[in-house]
Amino acid sequence: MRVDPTWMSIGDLARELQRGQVSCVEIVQATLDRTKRLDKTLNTYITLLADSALAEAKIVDGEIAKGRYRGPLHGIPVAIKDHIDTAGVRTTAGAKSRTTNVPTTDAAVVRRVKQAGAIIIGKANMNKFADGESGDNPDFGRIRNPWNTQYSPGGSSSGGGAQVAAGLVPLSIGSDNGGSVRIPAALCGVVGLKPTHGRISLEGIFPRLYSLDHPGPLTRTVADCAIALQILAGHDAEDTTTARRLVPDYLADLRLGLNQMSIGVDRKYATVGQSHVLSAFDAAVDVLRRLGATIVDVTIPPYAEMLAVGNTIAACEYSVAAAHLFREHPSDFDLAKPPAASGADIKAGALVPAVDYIRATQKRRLLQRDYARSTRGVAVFISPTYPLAPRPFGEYPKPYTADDAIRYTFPFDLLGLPAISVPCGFSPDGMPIGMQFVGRPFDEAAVLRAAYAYEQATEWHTRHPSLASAPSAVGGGVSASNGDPSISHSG
Amino acid sequence: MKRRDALITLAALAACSPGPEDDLQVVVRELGGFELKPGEGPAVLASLKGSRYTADIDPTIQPQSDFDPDVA
Repeated sequence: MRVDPTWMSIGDLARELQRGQVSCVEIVQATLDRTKRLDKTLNTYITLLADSALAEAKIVDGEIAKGRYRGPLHGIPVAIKDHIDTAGVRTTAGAKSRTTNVPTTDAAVVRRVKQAGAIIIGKANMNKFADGESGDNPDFGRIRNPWNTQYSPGGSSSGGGAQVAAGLVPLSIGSDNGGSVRIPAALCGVVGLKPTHGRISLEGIFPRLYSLDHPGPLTRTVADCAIALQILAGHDAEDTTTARRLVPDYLADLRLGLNQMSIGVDRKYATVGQSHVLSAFDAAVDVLRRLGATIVDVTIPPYAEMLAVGNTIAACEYSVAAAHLFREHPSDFDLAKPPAASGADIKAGALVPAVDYIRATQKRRLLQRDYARSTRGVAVFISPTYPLAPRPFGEYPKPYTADDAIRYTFPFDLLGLPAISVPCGFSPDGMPIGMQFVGRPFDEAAVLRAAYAYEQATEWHTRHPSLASAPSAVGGGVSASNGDPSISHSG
Repeated sequence: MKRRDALITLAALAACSPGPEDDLQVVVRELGGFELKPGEGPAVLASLKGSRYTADIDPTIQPQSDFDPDVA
């Protein structure tokens, strides 16, 4: 093959495909070869769609040869989190009890990437029911961080983060309701975007928290994230929460630079965490300042208020969304550990008085207003993405708690604001650290522009895990070769 | 226990204080349609306590379930 696609960006792959320097079959075959070699250890897929991917790749090559090039996702390998419906392919939400769930239609986001010509490589492993951020799936095995396979990749879009970091795909579609795109992005050293609530359709995605769920892309670069968002964003008549708002050209202003852009920092959103995480964030603030940004101190609502409101909303919404799952398979919830919800949490959620839920949604409106007022003078707000560097599976290191783990991400699910995580450094033991840029409602363009300027001024995104120390398979590996729901997983 | 009685019991449980597990079982069954596992009562009550938003709030504020882009 004339081109090694492993670490190439979507933009570069698209250019080479269009120029005929590489074929889609070559890219997909290389992707599958690398996946089969590495995923015995990383365990990022629940279902690999090798046969259909190669068949689609041949069709794409024919289309491109005939001049029917569809755009930057045409022929690009993509993975889909396994709680997003794929027609004819089992969609488990990370639970073995759902291996017989084979949707008849694609989710809206899958339809969009397919229409753009992307090749679906497989369904990504995840925290069970998109709940929690451990990357530790009791049914399909631990998903391992490519930077250190003994470490958690974060979650719940764990497979997506690990796939992109390991060079298995340049794009994986995940979802975020407490940090589930941004946390694995930070812990795997890649880019993860949670857009404004209503920017991307949720139709066909396993509902966990109705008013907090956000689909979003994980990529290796900010520009690739912009390419993906361009395809995914837009109104969907099947999802009443999607906005009838114009989708701008996200690549048009990407390279404009910071140009005295005002960037807000609230120090109370940058003081909880390991010292090397906070130091990396402080250094990133200095970089932004040197790039011409004006750093402005702002005071946004405290995390404790956000958490109190979010906990009530999440408890009620998950109790509704998961009730049937719990009734049918109560044991599915036996191994849940905070912040994932146990059976007791689901039962408790059913007891929360309606007035509490209504009060919480009233308070959410006030928090959105207070946040908007306090950040009126800034284009974006920044914070660390996650207070900890990647660590071994298991308990949080003292004194950190499950509430701390989502303290920088969950508020922006609650507020519904666009937020992107980008790499901003490495811990002393070589593990990636992330920071996030948060924007105004539907201003993903500003978020992408600021993140891109920072990314291009640093070299963090150019580092990749060696994967040389990957041990032999533990706890799972790639299973079905053709999405056949009758083929069970080995993990 | 009828639904009304269950609601009254729930009101007593609203402070999330430990009480007879039988009462909680009835409430969980009546309002949630779930069965308590033996010894699960304290965990349910602890979770309930952490899931309640009880602060006073201006009653004229419209509830917000979906994101409102025009806020503020």
